[in-house]
This record gives sequence, structure tokens and C-alpha cells, in this order.
Amino acid sequence: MFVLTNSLDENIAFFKSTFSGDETFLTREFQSQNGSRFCLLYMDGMADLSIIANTIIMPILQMEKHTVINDMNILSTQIVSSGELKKSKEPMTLIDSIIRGDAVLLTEGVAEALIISCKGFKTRSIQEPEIEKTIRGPREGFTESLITNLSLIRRKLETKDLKFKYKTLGTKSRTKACICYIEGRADEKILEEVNKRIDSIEIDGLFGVKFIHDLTDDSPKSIFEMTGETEKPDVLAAKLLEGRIGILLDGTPTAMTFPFIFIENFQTGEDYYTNYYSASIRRITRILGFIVATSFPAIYLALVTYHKEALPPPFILSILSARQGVPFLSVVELLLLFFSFEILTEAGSRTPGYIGQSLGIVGALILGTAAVEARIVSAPMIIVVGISSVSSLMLPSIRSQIVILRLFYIIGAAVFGIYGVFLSMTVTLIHLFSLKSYGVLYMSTINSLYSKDLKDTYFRGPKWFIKRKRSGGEK
Amino acid sequence: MKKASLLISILILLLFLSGCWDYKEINDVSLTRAITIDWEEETKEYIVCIQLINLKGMGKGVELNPQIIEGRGKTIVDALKNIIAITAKSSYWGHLTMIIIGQDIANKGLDDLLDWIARSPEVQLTINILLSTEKTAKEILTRGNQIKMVVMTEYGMIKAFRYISKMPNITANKVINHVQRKDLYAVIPTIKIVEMDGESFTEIAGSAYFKNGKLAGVLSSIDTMKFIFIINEIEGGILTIPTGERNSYVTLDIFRSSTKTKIDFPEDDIQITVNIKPIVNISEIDGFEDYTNKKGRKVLKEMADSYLEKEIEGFIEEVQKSPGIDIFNFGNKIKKTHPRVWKKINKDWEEIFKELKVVVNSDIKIKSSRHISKPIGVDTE
Repeated sequence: MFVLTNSLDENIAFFKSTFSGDETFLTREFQSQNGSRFCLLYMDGMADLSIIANTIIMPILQMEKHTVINDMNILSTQIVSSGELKKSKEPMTLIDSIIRGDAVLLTEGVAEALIISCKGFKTRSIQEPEIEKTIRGPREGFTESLITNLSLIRRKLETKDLKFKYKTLGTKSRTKACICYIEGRADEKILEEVNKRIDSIEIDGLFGVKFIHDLTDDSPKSIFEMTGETEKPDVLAAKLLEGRIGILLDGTPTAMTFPFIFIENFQTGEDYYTNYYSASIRRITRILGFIVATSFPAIYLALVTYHKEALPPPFILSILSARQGVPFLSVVELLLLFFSFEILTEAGSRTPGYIGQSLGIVGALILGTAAVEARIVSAPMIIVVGISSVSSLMLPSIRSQIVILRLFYIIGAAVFGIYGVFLSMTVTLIHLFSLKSYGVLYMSTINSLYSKDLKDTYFRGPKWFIKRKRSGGEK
Repeated sequence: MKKASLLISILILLLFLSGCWDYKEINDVSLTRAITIDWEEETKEYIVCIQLINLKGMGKGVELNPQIIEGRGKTIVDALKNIIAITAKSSYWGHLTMIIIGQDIANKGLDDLLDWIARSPEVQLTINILLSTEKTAKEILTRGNQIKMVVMTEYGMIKAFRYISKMPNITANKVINHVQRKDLYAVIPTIKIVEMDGESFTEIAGSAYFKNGKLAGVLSSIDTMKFIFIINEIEGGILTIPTGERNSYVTLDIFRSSTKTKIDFPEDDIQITVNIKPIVNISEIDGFEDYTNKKGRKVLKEMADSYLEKEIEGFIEEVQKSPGIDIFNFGNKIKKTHPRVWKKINKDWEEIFKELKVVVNSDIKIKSSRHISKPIGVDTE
């Protein structure tokens, strides 16, 4: 194991050999007026050259002739004018710092180095996230830089109780993660559990919070996810205030929150920036939309194939006339349409905007009108698939779960009729109620009938109501 | 784990307990809307006609094309099987709205028909059975206006006649129930064809009553309403009360009505009291008399009450005289309220009914006089 020596050349040779083959590793040697030799080590593109020139090289070149450099103390206290620096003798720490974008200053005759912070890589500016657009609320969203993100949260919650705890994850990626919570609000036991789970992660690299989710989820085999995701600091701040814990990861603009409960899928940040009547109506619409998206096609299929007697006569006549000449079974028709809709959404999410428009035309004209005209599918089926698909787009956070549930219910309907639909719904409900997110029931408050619990579930109660009830109910 | 496996086995068991049903595409069955059943005495065969809904054309130009197909057979199901041979599709009875029977089958007895209805898994027991007053039941389908029949059957005719209280609300399950019991008599609506401007329409004509499943007589449209008053099934309709003036009437619109039947035993005799309490609006006043003020309303109420009492009492007396059948099911009421008495008299009930003392009390409540109060009339003096 190498230790720093007094010889500058030996030290430089060590770092050069460590980074051999990496051409972005740069060394800059220079001499002060009294003849002392210095060497600066940094990564091209990671360090800001102007900071290096102004705060390190310039002061050293201009220091008075009689100054003697015996150790790093004089350099760090009197000469280098950088805001953040530290001393180190550990070669591994120095290597890490160079990789992170800091500069390392070596000098002749001292077996120690100075780590000077001068990270200068480019990050994306703060923008409004695509999927969490809002009309009235704040527009800023997280970026890929962890430090920027933390500052965004700090600005929302200016309290000393807000805690940030760093973790380094990934044996190769060495990604910085940050657990944030509000002391006094977040449950101690959950916090302990989170720390335990995060520490147990064994992975070589991770580039998004889904990696953490997959490795720490309560029920990894369930189609439902026990963690929430957001790209907006105001949403995260509100969840922290409610006692939840957030995890941010360097290099990803998405934050993860938990414990996560089912009803959060139906809440949006926008709810709290609009009038509570309209917010409640919209939330109920979202909940009904979930039911329509998952079970409407299955119920329709069961009615037209098994329980025709339950349809009113004028309705059965219009279905009959629409199905005239359609060659496929209803269930095949339904699955074909959903498959083509999934093709359209998948293609739409992968194509740039200007092609996306023509995709809409292809979808509406070819799949809609032409298929009905050609008697390949019936018009009521298009309506059913259309309503169900549009409803599922309303809930982006559980869209993939909706698609799976819908398929499950359709199969139930095709095999056992309406009984199959309700059987598969029962199975889903039993599963949902058995789930737990960090010790909290996934379906908590949904089965409650007390206004105390319902103030912010199916409805979005006014703030004064929520506040009063909360202070009364807190332990 | 034990709990989970128990739950799963219960859920799977349910699959087999839910009865039998089948995946059947809507366009693989032929939708039956009406059926007529006749009995031919000479050949001893049933003639069954079904009205199917076929569709003409494709795409947007689909048209309803009702079709009538006839089948003959030794039994009803036999005749229906012969129909399937023609249509090549199995008939679907879930949306059947009416069964029309001919006079011959009514005279022969309803039991075969009712057995088929009750046994069929698809025929809904809430449909109406109607008796054709034409020669055969088939005529109603073939001569009536086809398209109108398809759309009208349930939504138009039956609802409309129920609303004006000219059709007894007796569905197939009630008929089945009443025919099987001695103390109950089934009364079903009758249907006829009316000609209007060269076109034929179907109309509910009145009702027919059955004794032991066989046709025993018919009631006219007006008598049917009185009958409905007695059995407490009034849903609406109008009452025209003749006033003292010549040829003038006051028309009352029934808003709601309730009837209570009371049974008393004065001096070993049985007396039935029918208390009718209609709530009405004045909807038309002929002549000059103002019946909307306090005095007028009292006069009108007395007039209407005595009119209603007289009419209904007269009707009951008529029924007691000519068929002598307890179509009002008074016997069943006695059985329910005084089972001991019924045990003694049930054998001679037919005779007792003929001599039964029935009193009708009417208590009309006039709710409003609609938009205006005083009657409009030209002052000729």
C-alpha cells in the first residue's frame, strides 16, 4: 500500500500510474517565486478551470518570497482562497476526490495533500417536470444534481429539524444517496428500518430510485409498489411534513418517498393548489376512473357474452346491429383492441413530438374508423376500450398496474362471466389489504368511515379542517 | 397458510355452485321478442309463432327487420325445436316481452304453457301473458304493425296501459302461482287489433279470468279498471263523474289510490268492506258550476264518492251473479286473516261468494284544480 512521501515526483508518479490509461486525468506543475514546486491533480471536465486558476494557482504564484512551506497549514489557512478544502494523507481519499471533480494539491517536501473543492461540471437547469405539470402550484422540479435538489427542499422547509443523511451506494458507481426526514415527525422505527434496508443493498451501480425500490420493497413480487415517486420539491416537502421519509439519489431527478399508501396514487400536488370542492370532485373522478379503467371492459364482456338478460332491450339491439358481421369472438376483439392501444401508447412514448401527431392520426383513423367500417371490430367495443384506456392515462403512477388488472379481469369475465369478474376483484382486494409499506398498511384509511380519516382520502378537505383534525388526533 | 387455503377452496367451490351458464356471442342467438301460442283442435297440435329480430344490412345502415316464424308440434318445445330448424340459430328468451295465447289454448288449459315458462332458464317470470280476443293469437303478430310491435311491446303499450290502470299487473309468476291454487283466480289482460286509417294496431282490450287454468270469462276495459280498484293496483288513470247538469262531467285525474279490504262477521254472516281512498286532481270541468271553492269541492266529493261506490258495488254484484267466481280473491283474504273461519267455509266458498255482502266505501281526496280555479264558460244569459 502506497503512502504519500516527501518527494513530489514519487507522489505524481503514483497518481499517474493509478490513472494510467485515463486521458482526462491532468497534472499541472508550477513553481512559486521562492522556488517551491507544486503540482495540481484534477479531472478534465469535472473541475472548474477558472476556480483552479483564481483560487489556487494565482495566490501561490503571487505569495511572498520569504514564505516557507513546511506543511499544508500555511497553504490552507493563508494562501489558497477556496471556500471548501481539507487535508488528507490517505491515497484512496485523494483518488476519490479527484474522481468527484475536486483538485488535489501536492507540494515538494510535504507528505500530505490538500483537497480543494472546485467541482465545475455542467448540470441541467431547474425545469418543470413533464409528468407532474401544475397550473397553480410551483413549477420547479428536481434536477440530476443531488446538491441542487437538497437546496430546493431546504428552501421549502427552513427548519433545523429537517435532516439530510448521506449514504454511498454501489460498489462501482459510488452513487451518493440522501435520506431526508423531519425529526419529530418521522417515525423512529421506520427510520431505523430504512437505514437497515439501505445498508443491506449490494449492487455495483445504481442510476435511479427504482433500483433502491426493487432492492428494499416489502413485497417485491406484488404488482403494486410500496414506494412513491415524485419529481417536485413541494410534493416531497409536503410528504416530509406528514412524517414520511424521502430518498434522493445523485444523478436522478426522481425522489422516492415511503411509507406509501394506496390512496396516494390518486392525490396530486395540484389538488392542494385549487379550491377544495373542485379538488375533491377531481379526486373522486380519478378514483372512479381507476374502477372504470380496470373493470369496465370486463363487465361489458361478461354482460354481452354471459348475461344478455341484464341489458336493456334497446341497448342489446344496438350491440346486435354493431356486431353484425364481426368475425371475432368478443373477448378476442377486446384483447386485440387493447393490444393495439398498448402499441400506440408505447410507440407514442418513444417517438419525438413531431412524429407523435401522425401517430394520433394513424390511431384514430386506421384503428378506429377503418376497423369499424371494415367490420373487424364493433363500435361499442371501441367505446369501451377508449373510455377504459383514457381513464388509465389519468393515473400515470399506477398505469402499468391498471393494465395488468384489466387483463386479469377480462380473462375472469371470459371464463366465468360476471362471477369471474367479481372473483378476480376479490382476489385483488384481498391482496391489496394484505400489503404493507414499511409496517404501514397499504390500504390504510381507505376502509375507514370516520371523517377524521377521510379528510384527505376520497375528498380533499379544506386546510382548516385538515389542520384541526390533525392536531386533535396527534399523539 | 391454513386460512389462505381455506379461502381459496371456498372461492373455487363457489364456481360450481353458481349454476350453469355459457359463453355465447350475441350474434349467435336469435333475439325473440314475442311469442304466440295456439292450439289446433283438429290436428291436436300446438302452433307456435315467434317474432325474431333480424338485422338487414351492415355497418351504419343496419335496419331492424322483425321476422315471424311458425312451427308446429305435439308439445310447445317440440314446436320450438321445429322453429330452430328454420332459423338455424338457437332462440334466446331473455328479452321476451310477451306471450300471447289463443282462445283455444285458454279453453284447453294453461298448465302446459306455464310448465314450459317456469322450466325455462331464460324466460323471465316478470313478463306478461296476454289473451288474444281475435280468432287466433298468431293474428296479433301477423296483422299488427311489425316495427311498432318490436319497439312498443314493453316500453309503449304495456307501460301505457298500466299507467291508465286498464291492465291488471299480473306477471307470469303470479299466473303460475294463482293457477296452482284453489283459492286464487288468475286474471290476465286481453289483446286485440284495431284498425286506424288502414293500418292495424294492437291494443289492450280488457282482461280475462281463469278458473282452474281454464278460461272462464272476460271483463271489458271499464270493468277492468273497477277490478283494479278493488285489488288495489291503481297506478293512475281518470274518473269521469257525471254532474247534475245535462251531459256534463267533471274529470278527475287519479294521482294515487289505496284500497283496504276489511272483513267483518256481523251475526254469523260475512261482510266485506272495500275502502277506496283515491287522491285526485280536477283536470276538467264541463258546465258552469264552480267545484273548486270549498262548498263546490264538498259537493263534488259527495258526487264522486257515491258514483264510485255505486259503480263498483254494481260491478261486484254482476260478477257474483253471472260467473259467480271470486276473481277478487276475497276468499284468500279471509284465509290469511281468519284461517279458522276459512277452514269451516272453504268447501262452500263458491256458494257463499254468490250471496256475499260487499260494501264499498269511497273517500276521495281532491288535491288541486291544476292551473285555474273557476270553470271557463261563455255566459249566455
